[in-house]
Amino acid sequence: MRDDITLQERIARLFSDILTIDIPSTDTDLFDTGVLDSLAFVELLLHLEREFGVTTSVDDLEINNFRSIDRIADYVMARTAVPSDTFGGPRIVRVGT
Amino acid sequence: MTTRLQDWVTIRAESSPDARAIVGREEWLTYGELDVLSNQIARVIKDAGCASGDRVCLLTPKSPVALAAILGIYKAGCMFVPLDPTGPASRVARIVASCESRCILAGGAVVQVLEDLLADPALGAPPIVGWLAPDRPVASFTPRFDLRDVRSYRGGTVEGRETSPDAAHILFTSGSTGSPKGVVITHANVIRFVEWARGYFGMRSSDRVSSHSPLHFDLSTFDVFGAFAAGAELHLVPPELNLVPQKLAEFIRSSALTQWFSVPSILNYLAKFDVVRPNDFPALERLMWCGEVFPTPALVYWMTRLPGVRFTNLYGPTEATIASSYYTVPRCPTDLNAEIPIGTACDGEELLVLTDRLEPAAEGEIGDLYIRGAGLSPGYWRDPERTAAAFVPNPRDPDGADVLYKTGDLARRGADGLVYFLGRSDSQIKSRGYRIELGEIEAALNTVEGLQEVAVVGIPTGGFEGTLIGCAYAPLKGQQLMPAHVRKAINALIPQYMLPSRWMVLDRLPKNASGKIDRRAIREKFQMDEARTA
Repeated sequence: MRDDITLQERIARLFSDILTIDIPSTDTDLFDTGVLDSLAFVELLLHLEREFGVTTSVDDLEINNFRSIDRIADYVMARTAVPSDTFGGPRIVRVGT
Repeated sequence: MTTRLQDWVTIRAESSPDARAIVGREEWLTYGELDVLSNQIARVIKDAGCASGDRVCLLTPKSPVALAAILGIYKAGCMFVPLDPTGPASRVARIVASCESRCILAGGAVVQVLEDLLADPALGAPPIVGWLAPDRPVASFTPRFDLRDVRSYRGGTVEGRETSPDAAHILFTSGSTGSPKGVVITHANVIRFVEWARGYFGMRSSDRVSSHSPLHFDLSTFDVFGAFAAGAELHLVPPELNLVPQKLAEFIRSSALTQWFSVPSILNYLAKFDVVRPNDFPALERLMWCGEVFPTPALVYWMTRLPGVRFTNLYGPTEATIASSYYTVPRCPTDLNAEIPIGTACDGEELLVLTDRLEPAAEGEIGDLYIRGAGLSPGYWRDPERTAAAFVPNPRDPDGADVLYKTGDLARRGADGLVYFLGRSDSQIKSRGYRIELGEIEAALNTVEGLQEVAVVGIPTGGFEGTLIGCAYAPLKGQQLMPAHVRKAINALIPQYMLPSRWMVLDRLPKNASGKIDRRAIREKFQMDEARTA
């Protein structure tokens, strides 16, 4: 498995380079600080799939898994540690609010 | 008759202290607890040196304690100023400076924004910080008190209610010059609207009322005080649920809400993802929206799925307190293009459609929409110029004391006597319910280096998306400037909801005959783009 710190850094880079959102720290609350809107959130799910092969179904996702970069790293770790064919199919949809 | 907003809570706390008042994520407060906690907060604020009429700012995500703090501020005889906890810090600092606040009550995930705003050169005299959680944060500021200190104060009735000022809060909205303008709202303004709404909607103590809008947005005033006036339960909707429509629908279902009130954009979003089942939300009795136009196709979606629910359109600018007119849709429209009127004035208010010469427009004729009556704010905070421009003397009042508020909206009165909204007459737009002066976004863009010229336009999509914000710019000759870079540069100056979502990079911007930037041409370019990619 990848080193945990590297994973957090990679996710932080995904935020700054692709979503163009600077996150002050890996435990910053992404919801309460309002940095994630619905468009950025769906983009995030999309890039987690591209970058880490982690697919997330919007029907059964647990929002708290995405509350901070640390939590997202834990989530990615957990999802990449089991065979990928146990996941539901990709259910990512483009939204525009 | 109630004369102060905190009175409803005190009355309910006496009759039913154990009834739940505010339900948060994992915690709730009963009316009895809410009354005691707000008394304690009032005492700690007074002890910190705040006197009658002082402005106390609140910088925290919505929570039961945050709402107790609002009541505490009123009980201390102070004015409440909600700050957007999502920043940006520079804008929040200007608001704190503008209202010369002596004290900021803060809590939750706001450490970064609070540190930045306290270090902002625009701030002036640094305010006292009170921390509304038991554990103090590791931060560059030192709170004067925290929630443990608050809890050590006496919880009995606070003296001085009779002499407290009528001004209740200042709500800052987008201003065209780049500086936010503060709308002063009185206790009497809010009480009058809430009393009307409680009667009209038949609100009662068994209600479970949604609290969806953030506290710096005036719709929240009705959620909070409507629930308190009825002695009902206020259910705080976690803002992250907005990200996933399925979760938001599940929240409405599992909380068994009887009342939902929000901007239409979130209702659109739920409709777009088709997460409302036939006869869903069995407890729901009424659904209201305000802040922008609810597209009829989305309304039809909702009304078809929830035939037992009453659907009401509310209309009104912040300057006229929450809403000034209402229209309950009598039956599900059969025409997807049907116009939903903004209806008739609430009690004590009047809608006037006037010509340029301030004479009543003929039936069906488009005119400027003015509001008069009990909802009108006394004016903008310490800004007589802008107040005089927007609050004008009623030409039909011989004494000259009566005031009309110029909404900046265009409207017409139909043959049915109802008023129909037709859009803005100026450079203001509504996006996701937020009132945005495009000039404020342009002012932020003008600080970005490397830009030759820039224009921001509202792109009406007519559909589910509402109005999008488009930015067209031309970089200085020989410069490469990507939209992502520009977006990042203004991110620190304006709130997230004001950031343009559509970008266009041109060699030069189109000009009209007088040499001014042709915003209409730019808007049309964006609209063609939208139509192509839709």
